[in-house]
Amino acid sequence: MAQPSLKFLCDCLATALLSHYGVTHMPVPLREMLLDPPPDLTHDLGLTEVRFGEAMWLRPPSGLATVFVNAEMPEPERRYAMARAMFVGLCTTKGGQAAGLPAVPNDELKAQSDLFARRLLMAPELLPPGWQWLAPQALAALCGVPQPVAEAQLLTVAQS
Amino acid sequence: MSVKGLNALVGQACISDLFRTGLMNGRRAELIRWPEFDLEPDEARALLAIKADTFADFAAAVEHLVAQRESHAARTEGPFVVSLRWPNPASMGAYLSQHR
Repeated sequence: MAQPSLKFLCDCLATALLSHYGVTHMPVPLREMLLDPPPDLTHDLGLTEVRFGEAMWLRPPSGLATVFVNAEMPEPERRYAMARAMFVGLCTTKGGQAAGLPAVPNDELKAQSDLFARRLLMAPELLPPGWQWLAPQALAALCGVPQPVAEAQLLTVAQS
Repeated sequence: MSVKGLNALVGQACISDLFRTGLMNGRRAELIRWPEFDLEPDEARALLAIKADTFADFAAAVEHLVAQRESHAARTEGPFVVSLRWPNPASMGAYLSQHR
């Protein structure tokens, strides 16, 4: 059985989510995506704000899964942590499993969720022409992500 | 559209059970004509020709199709490579040779 690459699936998920929510500009409305997930994902995604930890996707005994996020984190860090937790939730959906998203948890989950979070929150189709030459601080502010994430994205693009 | 449309198609199948089921069970020709995918006729034909037992197989085949399109686009839209050549040792002249 052939398996699509994780990068391709992240591209596809980000494109579909941005289209579903009609997103045309930065920053990507991640909070709204989690509060009002696509109809078939309402049992797999949600958002619950707490006052501890960072962000974690969990499916309680009720069966209604949600991302628990620390509302006291700075906004860029909170958004990035939510996107990474969202990826974990997407991996557990019927569609995610059928497509070949990795089973979770696994040893590569940090790198996998980083890939998805960067693809969604720094979607190239929403960035202005020449974004590759922005300063990390400017790119981070534009996308609403932590500066080290913007630096990593710029480094990846420069190396490709 | 092209690559974005193909990505959107697979992504839609990831987030919609009904769409994914239809794509794999007889409604593919109808679903790939959704205007938001904006697929070209040759892309639609390629999608209809995919034989896949599972959705993962289908997604892998679409990824292959995307890679082919990106490779083709790079060949047709990429920068010209220009090299300087000396016609022969006896000549001081030079000419430009253009490659794609």
